[in-house]
Amino acid sequence: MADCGVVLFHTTSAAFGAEKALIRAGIKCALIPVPRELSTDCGIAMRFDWPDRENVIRILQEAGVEIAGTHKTERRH
Amino acid sequence: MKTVDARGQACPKPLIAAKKALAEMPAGETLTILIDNPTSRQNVERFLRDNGMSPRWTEENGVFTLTVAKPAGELAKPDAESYCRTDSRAGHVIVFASNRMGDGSDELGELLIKSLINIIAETSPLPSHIVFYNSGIFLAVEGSTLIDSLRELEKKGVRLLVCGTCLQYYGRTDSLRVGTISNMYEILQTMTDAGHVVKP
Repeated sequence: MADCGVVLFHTTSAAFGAEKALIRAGIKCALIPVPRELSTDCGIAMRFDWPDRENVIRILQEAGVEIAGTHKTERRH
Repeated sequence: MKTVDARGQACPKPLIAAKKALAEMPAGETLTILIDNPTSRQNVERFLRDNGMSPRWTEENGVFTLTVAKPAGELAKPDAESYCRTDSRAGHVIVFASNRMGDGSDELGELLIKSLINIIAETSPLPSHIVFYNSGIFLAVEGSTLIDSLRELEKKGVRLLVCGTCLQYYGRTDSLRVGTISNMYEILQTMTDAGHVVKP
């Protein structure tokens, strides 16, 4: 089971911005509800493959998307 | 009056026992069946109704008591075992009648439906089918960011039915990327047969 990570956000608009930026960059990503063991203000997170972490952070920084951190999670299925 | 005690038994045993008892009874006699799990009770009830009977049931302390009068003649639907739903994936159907979830903000609705579809694969039990119609078809066509998640569900045996009329109406028939083109007959039958229908 591949390790995944999630990017957390303070706002839903940041989540949207992240999706746009990552899709444009061709990075595999999926908007999901924040995993139960974590918590955020807006309840939406972006799941990505953990090996892509550095790219994800860089792309979001360059796109001006504010994030509330990244966490490693285990795929539940 | 004949009594079948199917307590402690899971499908298809109560169904088979009910069918056997009916075969051994004269018409007009009352059959009482004791069942202690809700799934079997539902399945036995459907079997009896499909055979023209009107079972009544009561429940006490987790035990269901069904009573029914045996009708005259042969059973119309004698295949009792087919009423057995032991596969948990045969339970429910998810219907996407829109590519947004909830009313109010379209933008929020788009976000919500994405986050829901992306986690269906990790929830249990999986739906037996997912149905898409009207703007729901956009979730399954070229341009949707949900194709990968939906393909994953298909691989796990979930049947995705996408309304053909809707695809044609929106000019997207050639853009379908996941699921099979379906029609109102199949969609209606699927929703009718479902244990329950989930409409996010």
